[in-house]
Amino acid sequence: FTFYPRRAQDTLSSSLCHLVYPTHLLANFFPFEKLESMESIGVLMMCPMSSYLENELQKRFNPVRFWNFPVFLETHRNSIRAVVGNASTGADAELIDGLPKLEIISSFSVGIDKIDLGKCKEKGIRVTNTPDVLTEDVADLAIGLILALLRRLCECDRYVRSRKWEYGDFQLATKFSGKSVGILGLGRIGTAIAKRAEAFSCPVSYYSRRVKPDLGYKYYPTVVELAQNSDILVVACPLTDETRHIVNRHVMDALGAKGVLINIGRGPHVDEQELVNALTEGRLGGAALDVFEQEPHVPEELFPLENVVLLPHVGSSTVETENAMADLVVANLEAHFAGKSLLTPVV
Amino acid sequence: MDFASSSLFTADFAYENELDLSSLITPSTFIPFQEPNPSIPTIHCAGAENDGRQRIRETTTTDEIITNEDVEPKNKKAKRREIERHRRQEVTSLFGNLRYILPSQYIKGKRSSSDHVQEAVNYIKDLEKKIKEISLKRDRIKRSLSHSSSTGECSIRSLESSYCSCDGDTHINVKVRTCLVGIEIVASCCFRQESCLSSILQLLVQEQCLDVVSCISSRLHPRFIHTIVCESKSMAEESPLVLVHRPPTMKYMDEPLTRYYRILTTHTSSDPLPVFLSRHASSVRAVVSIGRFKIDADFLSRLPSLQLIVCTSVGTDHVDLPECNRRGIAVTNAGGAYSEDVADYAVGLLISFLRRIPAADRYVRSGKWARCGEFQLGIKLSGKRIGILGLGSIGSLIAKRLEPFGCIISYNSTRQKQSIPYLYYPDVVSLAANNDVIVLCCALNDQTRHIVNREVMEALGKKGIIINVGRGGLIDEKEMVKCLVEGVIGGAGLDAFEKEPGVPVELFGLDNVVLSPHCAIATPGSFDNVVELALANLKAFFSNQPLISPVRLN
Repeated sequence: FTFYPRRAQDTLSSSLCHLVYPTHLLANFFPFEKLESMESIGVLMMCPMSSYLENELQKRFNPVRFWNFPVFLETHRNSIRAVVGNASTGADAELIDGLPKLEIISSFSVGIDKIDLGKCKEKGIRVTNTPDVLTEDVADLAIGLILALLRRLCECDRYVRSRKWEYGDFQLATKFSGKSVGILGLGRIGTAIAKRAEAFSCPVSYYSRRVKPDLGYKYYPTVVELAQNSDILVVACPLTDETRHIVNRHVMDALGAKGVLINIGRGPHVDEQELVNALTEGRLGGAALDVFEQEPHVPEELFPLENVVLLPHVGSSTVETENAMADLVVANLEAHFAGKSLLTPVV
Repeated sequence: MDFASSSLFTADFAYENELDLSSLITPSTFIPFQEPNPSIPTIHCAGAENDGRQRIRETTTTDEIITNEDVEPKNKKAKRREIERHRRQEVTSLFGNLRYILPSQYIKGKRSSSDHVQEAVNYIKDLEKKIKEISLKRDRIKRSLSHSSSTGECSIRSLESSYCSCDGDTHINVKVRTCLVGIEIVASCCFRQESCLSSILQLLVQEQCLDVVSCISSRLHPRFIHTIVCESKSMAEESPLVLVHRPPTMKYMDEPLTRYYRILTTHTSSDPLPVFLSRHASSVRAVVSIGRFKIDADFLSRLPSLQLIVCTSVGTDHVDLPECNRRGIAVTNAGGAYSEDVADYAVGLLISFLRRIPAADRYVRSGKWARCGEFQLGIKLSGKRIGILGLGSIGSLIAKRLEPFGCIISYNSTRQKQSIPYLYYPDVVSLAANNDVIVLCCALNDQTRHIVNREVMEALGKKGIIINVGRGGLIDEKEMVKCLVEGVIGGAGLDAFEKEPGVPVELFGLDNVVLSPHCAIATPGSFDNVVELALANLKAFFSNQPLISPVRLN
């Protein structure tokens, strides 16, 4: 498992929580597994996600923080009935096998590539995610990335702060309005991006597993064709075995030295080594990346480049959206343990 | 000339009469003669006989020959006679046409057809000469415009590398000397290199201040020597003089303007500006203003003939508009040329601020993501209330772009527009009080100077955001810096400042601002648009048509 470093502001509150509610100690002394009230249900949190989520879980269940005490997993394995994962840490086969009483995995994200779905289906474990609440934020960020990349907003900010403006004007950037936008994967997020791009008078085209005729955008049957006919390629599809490295050398060559790549999907969608080579050699016009293959490690060759924008996976990182996602995770867990139907099930 | 492209003249014929026809002869074209039998395609061949007359022989195709093999010789003779007669008829009609094609000075006094043919040759030679003269003119102009070396050999030197397969010297020698009337160009080139003289003349054609007086070509085997005498004359008085008032770095208008006008730039002379204007610019009727140089009453008073000021920016706050109104000077601006780019930039500034894109980019590049963990949370854009101050072309494009993000748009403008679906607020304070973001994209004038003051910022509130893509003077900058530092407003995205390029140093250390060096318009497309618009305005002015993008002066 990747041992995810936590946010600075979470440290103090989490540690205090443990001092006040030593639930892991209680579980050892009072192994009342037949207790039906939800306060005793063990919910394994894989990594620090949101202090709001932690508080909500604390109010209702018995959260076990994996990053604090991984060694206590042995003692808790029989009390953990739910796992809450996120985009970077999910539940793989090893973890699922190690938790015999696991009933539900609720993911604090919409992408569930880090969860072993086959194993879940086999064992009858339910899986939920958080669609729709984060669609707008991710689409907003995609457009923001396109503007920041094409109009060089990050560089402009650096230029003024380093006082270089006093010596000369900034260089020309590239216009966004009217450029052709190609969307890889026209799902909820892809459609939202298309709607926003249309307001900038951009012709929108897409590649998808199935044609969607009622949306009115141009369809291309292969990714390479989509890249050839687009100035901006946005990756907005889920990560599966078929879409792994879907943006490879051929696609990047088709996109060309005047094309840019925007990745708000998952890091493994793009062949990262190939991307670094294409950018440093000038074969690709630019890239704006929110996700990487080995987060939080970003290839250092990208740091000095001017035609890239690098973000630390902030696709849905706004206060309002994280709260909405946390509410959805908690609601799914409550629904499951109360015997009601799940709100956003995947499996 | 269609005639010259006919197959009557072969290479030998041309050479004997010293004609350079290699570029004119296109072997694939034929004069569509009247054919005796349209179903039988005929081949025309021409040959030159020793006395200069041409001979046309018509032969039928091989098919015809094969099928007619067993025809008796008597039929063949009759056929040949028929063809001869037909040929003679066509040649007569052709020569008859010559009389009508050639200009009268060549035909005068000449009756016989061979004379006509000779005159046709002379005519072609004269035309060629004229072409070469004109191209030499153009050479000269090109050279003088690019301030190349005085002998002009550099532009002709490219001919030296052209391949020539004969024994004579392959390179071209060019010497340019001044002479009584102007300049004399002596070019010596290999006799096979037909393009030499035409290239020189081609270059001279572009030269507007040179007239080719004579072009004499003589042949000293194996070389040709061309002597071209050009007379220099002063530039045509017909292109108007336009004054360009710009900083030294913004050169993008110079080349397009020189295509149609003579330009005078204010920064090139060492005289102070008032002296320069009084001395050189008294007849100037139009000024092109680039950048933010002031055009005030003093400037205007030194240009008594001024009738038009063309601005390449949308904002005209650097021009003394009431003074222009008083003097009857029209002012044009960049109209809608920049609107899309500025609107894109405003939306970009807003999203970059809310989602902290520049700060997050810095966070990753400094390696902090791997060391310190998650970056701080941003703010959601969807559902925010956006107040647009000034719903002009830029403001309405911003509104159009923000609608699909789920934003609620309202505006304040000098006049309420009836057809707009957005909510109208009668003053800035109420606009700020009821919105989360205010976007400034109105013109800067006396009414709007410091329109965003402390009162407005306090009404905007702790979570309020200012996006400024207008002019720095719209905001009380000192107060704004205080409000940002104290947390009276949430943050700002600023493209313009009061004293550019000076930015208040307190802003450099703040996290809740996104700063930008006034580059909302800086894309190549928008510069092309504004060049086109400025030229269109100038053209309209000088031909007394209505201006394309005039500014209201009162």
